Amino acid sequence: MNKLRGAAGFLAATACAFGIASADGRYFAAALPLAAWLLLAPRAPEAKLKAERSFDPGQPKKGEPVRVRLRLRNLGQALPLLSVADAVPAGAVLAEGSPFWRGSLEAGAELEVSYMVRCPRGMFGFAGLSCVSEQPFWASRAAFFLPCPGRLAVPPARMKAPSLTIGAQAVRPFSGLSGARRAGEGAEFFGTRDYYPGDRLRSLNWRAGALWGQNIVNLFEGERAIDAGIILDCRAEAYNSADQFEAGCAAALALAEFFLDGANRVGFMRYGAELDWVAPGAGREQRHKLRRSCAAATLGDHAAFERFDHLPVSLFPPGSLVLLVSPLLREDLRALRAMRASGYTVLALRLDPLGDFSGLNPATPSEAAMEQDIARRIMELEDAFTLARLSRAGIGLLAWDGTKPLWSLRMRGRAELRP
Amino acid sequence: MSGIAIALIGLAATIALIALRYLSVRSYLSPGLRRSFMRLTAMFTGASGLAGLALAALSGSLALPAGPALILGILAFRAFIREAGKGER
Repeated sequence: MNKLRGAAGFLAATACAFGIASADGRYFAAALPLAAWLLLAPRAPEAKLKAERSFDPGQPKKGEPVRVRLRLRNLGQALPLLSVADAVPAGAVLAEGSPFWRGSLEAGAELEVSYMVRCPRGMFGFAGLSCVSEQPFWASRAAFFLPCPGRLAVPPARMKAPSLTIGAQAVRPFSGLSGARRAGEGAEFFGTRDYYPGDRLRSLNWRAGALWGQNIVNLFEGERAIDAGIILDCRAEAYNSADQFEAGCAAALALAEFFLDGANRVGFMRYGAELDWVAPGAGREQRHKLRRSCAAATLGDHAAFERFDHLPVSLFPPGSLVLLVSPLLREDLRALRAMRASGYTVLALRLDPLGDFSGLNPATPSEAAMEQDIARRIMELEDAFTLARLSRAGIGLLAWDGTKPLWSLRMRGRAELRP
Repeated sequence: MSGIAIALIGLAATIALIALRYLSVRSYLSPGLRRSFMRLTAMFTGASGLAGLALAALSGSLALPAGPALILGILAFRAFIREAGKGER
């Protein structure tokens, strides 16, 4: 409400009420200037604006200051007094400048408003600008909303992934860095076989031929690309803390980019609060999609996604590598074994429920109560049992407790290629 | 209190509101718009002041300028309600 016009209306109405009550015309004379200021006010000029929004940098790191630039162009008449306010999304913190501007804007003039925000990991949506056009003297105003959408994706902090040499049952016809072992055009020795007409003479293994009395040729290992699917567990009940989930997001992105860097095709799925799916792909555009998906990951609960029973794993190409990033509940083991039985090569990155992911610092020993020690010991035994069952099922496991960097993890067990 | 004194109180209240308005928007206006504001203020206070004083002088001889006064009151009340409603939305 425009307080000044409200005050003028109140005073004028009060004076008129006095005049009517006392049947005295002098009070109306007092109300006249106030009422005239209210009633003679022309309408505020109608604004015709065009707004564009840009972010610098377009893909910021977590906590990095981002400059939000708003460019407005007046396509209509001159605006003597215009107020523009941009709404900073929840979670983002204003670091510098102001998202508010007020002043006059000539016809055809351009205006740039910029300010800086700091954002944690997440997807931040900017809807538009709240604008008010005013008459400076009469204080009449017209408020309107100017759409100026923008989305800022802040991916998780970058981590170095462990170098995994793991293949998949099905490989792609293209070359790529993976653990898939196939004979082809490579530099590493793969094996030998009998000579067939057409084989290159330079690949003849003379020593083996002399030993066995027949022509033998060397085979080399051709590095082949694979299809890798990353599943990020977003079920709120599976996580102990927000730090643990943040570490999971960062690890999922690091692993996805590791496979992407090896020219493999990578798909990504968020399972928990919702089911979000990025189809397998490769290249720079796919990297952007994966980062956006990791940025948008949120914890949540959904009755249909309480367990991995409804995991639509068939979205991943048959025989591909499926990597699950999760703290792993006890009930999840069955779903992983079913996935394994379906012909997928399954690997799990387990975020230790007892780990410390707050800043990835080693947990300091505290004087915990005896009950807590016993509970911890029970959980450790339960974990050991679960991990042993995973290993027996042919599911590779990376166990991460947050005290060591992600790249230093070594795979426990062996992710078998065939069920 | 004489009729002219009451009319001057109304005029003073109007000028005070306009002054407050000026102070709140002054820093956002260009020098040209500030001059325009001052010119408009002078014209408006002059005209409405004269009209108010004239009405106050006349109201002594007339019993009650009931018709226009009632309309003025209703319009002022309506404007007040409208301003209050903008805030609610």
